[in-house]
Amino acid sequence: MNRSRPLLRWLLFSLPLVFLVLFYFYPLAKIGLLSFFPDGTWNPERLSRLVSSPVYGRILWFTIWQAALSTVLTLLLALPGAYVFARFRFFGKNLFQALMTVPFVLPTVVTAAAFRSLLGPNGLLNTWLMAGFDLDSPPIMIDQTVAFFLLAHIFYNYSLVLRIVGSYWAGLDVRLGAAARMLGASPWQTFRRITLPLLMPAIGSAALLVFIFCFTSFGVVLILGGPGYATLEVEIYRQSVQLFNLPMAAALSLIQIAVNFLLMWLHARLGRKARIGFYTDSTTGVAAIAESLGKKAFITANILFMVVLLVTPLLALLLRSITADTGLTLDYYRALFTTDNRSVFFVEPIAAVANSVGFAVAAMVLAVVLGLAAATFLASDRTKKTSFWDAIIMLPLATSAVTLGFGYIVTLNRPPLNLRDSLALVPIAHTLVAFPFVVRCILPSLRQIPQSLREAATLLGASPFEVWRRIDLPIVSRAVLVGAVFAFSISMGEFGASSFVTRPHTPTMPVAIFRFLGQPGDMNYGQAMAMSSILMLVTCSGFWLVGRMDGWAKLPDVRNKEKKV
Amino acid sequence: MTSTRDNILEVKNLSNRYEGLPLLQNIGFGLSQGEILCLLGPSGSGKTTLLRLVAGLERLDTGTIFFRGRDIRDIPPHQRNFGMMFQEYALFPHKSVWQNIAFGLEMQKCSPAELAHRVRTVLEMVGLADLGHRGIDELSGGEQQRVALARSLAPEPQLLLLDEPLGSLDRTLRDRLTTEIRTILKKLGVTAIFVTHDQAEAFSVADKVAVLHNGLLQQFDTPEALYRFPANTTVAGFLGFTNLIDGHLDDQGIFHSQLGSMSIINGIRKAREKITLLMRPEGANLRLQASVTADTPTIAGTVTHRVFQGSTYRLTLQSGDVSLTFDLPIDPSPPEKGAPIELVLNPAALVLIDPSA
Repeated sequence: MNRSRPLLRWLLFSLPLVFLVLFYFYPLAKIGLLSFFPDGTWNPERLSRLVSSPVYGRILWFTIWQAALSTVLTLLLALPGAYVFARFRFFGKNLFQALMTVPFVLPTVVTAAAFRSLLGPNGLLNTWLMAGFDLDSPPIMIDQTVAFFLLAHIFYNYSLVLRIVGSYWAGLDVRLGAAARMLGASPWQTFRRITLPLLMPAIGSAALLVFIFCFTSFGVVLILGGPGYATLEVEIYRQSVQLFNLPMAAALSLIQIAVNFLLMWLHARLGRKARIGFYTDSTTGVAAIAESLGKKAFITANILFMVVLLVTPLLALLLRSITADTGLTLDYYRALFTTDNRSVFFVEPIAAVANSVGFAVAAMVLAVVLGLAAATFLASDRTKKTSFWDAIIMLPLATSAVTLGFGYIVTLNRPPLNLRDSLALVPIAHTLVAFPFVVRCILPSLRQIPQSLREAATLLGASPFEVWRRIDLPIVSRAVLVGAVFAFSISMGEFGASSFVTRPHTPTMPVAIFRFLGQPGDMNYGQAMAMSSILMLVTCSGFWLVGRMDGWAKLPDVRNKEKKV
Repeated sequence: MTSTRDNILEVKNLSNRYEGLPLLQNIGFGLSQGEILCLLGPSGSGKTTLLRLVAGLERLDTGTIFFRGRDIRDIPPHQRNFGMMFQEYALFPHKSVWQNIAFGLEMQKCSPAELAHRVRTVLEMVGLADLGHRGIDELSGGEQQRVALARSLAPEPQLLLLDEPLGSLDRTLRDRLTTEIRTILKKLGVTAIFVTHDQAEAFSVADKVAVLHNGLLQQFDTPEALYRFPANTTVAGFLGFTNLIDGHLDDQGIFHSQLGSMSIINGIRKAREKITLLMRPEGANLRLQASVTADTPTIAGTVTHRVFQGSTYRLTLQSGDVSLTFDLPIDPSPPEKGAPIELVLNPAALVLIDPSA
């Protein structure tokens, strides 16, 4: 009914659409083709042979098994924490809440490096134990085992579960529990029969997300699990990069795509029912100060666990990057600026920092431009049709970066779209990963703008473009900024796709860290720690900045109907 | 209706549908320079849609809209130079009071000196001269309303559209601001269309009132004519009149109903099988022996409700099967509930109207 300019809208939307077709659907279609036509001819038997082979089954089974175990462990450890954050006030709560965002933004490679620096054979704990008890070999032998990357998975997802379930829990009406108690239920019965069933949508949604993340886990499994373990992602990487068995890699990718789509679809359905945000606001609701000793101890234990889980690996990383056998040193950082003949690099490692920043800036700009275009299109109309396009735009989220990277090397290094020698490949891959996040950041604030604001501007003489520039854009500027920081950080830490498309002369920081970690010797190890520390500081400071901006750029709630008279 | 010659706005045969349902049917009216028109109707009557069609914010299905003799259907809203005041004001939250008001002038590429002068002038006019630097969220509801008015007036629009501009304010403030808006609009000589569902608001602001119901224009008149001679029972009902008695009018101009036969001098004069008598609530007094002549209409019954309202008593009486409500002066005080009562009716307050909606 509204006057709108369909042509203009579609012109705007064609930007992200063309980008998606070229750099998402085309590579994905090629993977499908490669699976069914391995030699250029229709050969489904080869695919079915691959799928029915025991190796294939074992990899799939292992991927599911480790993801399920990671999910269960994370839930068990994080639910008490969610309770603490939902229902209690305590000293330093805001600080701990800020701390929880750290794993969320930490690149996988940095996490892997951090856990190695704490618990690896050369890690701090082993070094100290060996020195303290005069041991000849490291007592903690967790490196290259399943337990090691499960621990990293818990590190990653603990705060995710805590955030989702905690904020949902805080939103539950406390009077429901009180009502159950007045009807004669014990605290445990109240939890089991009232609270838990009400929490189920949030728990289910969180569990599914954790499962998805662990199912597609790549960096930590590759680095911490060692050659003995392979999830689907790791196997795709090995088959294509190390063994050059492209049809096998394609067949594995196909399974990966199918399972991911299924899981994301489930998650979207669950989320719609329970209205659970992926990146929800901090908790609101009734929080009390703990009074009984038991509750105080419970809170303390949870906070302690959280600090140990989240802080020690990061501290160990920083500490390890400045300690050698001889004591404190900055040698590792200094070494980043030199080119060693025996080094795995052709350029001095510090160039990776410049590369990463350059790629990240490019990816950020691209992702913001495309994200703004897509969000503007989606916000201008709210019909069934737009929700279809919304889903299309979110598809890259449901695709693993490794699959994407693999898709790129089988499509974009030959005509018609030859980008093999182009530096553009890395930022393009990063843009694709980051762009859905940018849309998710901007779209809600665009949709919150009352249509009457635009109409008011129109009647005051503003053309459609002027309205967009002077009303929409300034109001969503903060969301755009958050999206930009997101995109920048995602690009800085992206490893899955980068491991495929990065060229040897222009490594990104995660790729450089991975190479260092794969080489023997204390110097390589130390440089991995040093570079990880730099990467950690860069990504965290971005989010710290966004957190700071919360204060000064907050807009008044334009939908607030309550007027002061 | 006003004559076509001096109208600056002319709406003809306008119809609009929404998702297949007719929203407005065959609307036509005219408005001359400097007049304030109120679109009055319950929610869902189509009044806001009609306003948005004039603004150009909605697409027109059929009909024409002329402004100063020119068909404006194809002119996009931002080129019409119409002002609009929105429900909830739609003030730009990211701009200060000053910037909000300056926006329209900036769009007109107004020179900085002229812009500053105009903003200052309208700010003074609405009595907010010192609040230019304030943020929108730092204003009270009444202040926001003034800023919205100032913003829509600053570019000197050819036509001002107001969409329930006082809807979210409390009664006392509404009454004050209604008068204020009319004073300002009249001072500037602005032609305006004002949408409201509040009859009292419409009467105090408008030169002309258009009553809309179910997408049909029921009546277009001055406030007083509307009140004295509602076109039909729909309009009467919307104005809050409840004393509606069905009957028929014979050749001699005598109205026959359950209440008996009466000679009515107002409203429809032609014989009709079905016709409705409206008795306005203020048109009755207690019957005192001396005051009655033979042909004065009277009515007798029993008091069923008696509510003291301050300046009047609201009194409901039962006469046969008919229940009637009147506002009586407090002196002499009317009989108690249950007591018999006899009322003298003011012939001017009795009108015969069209029963069909």
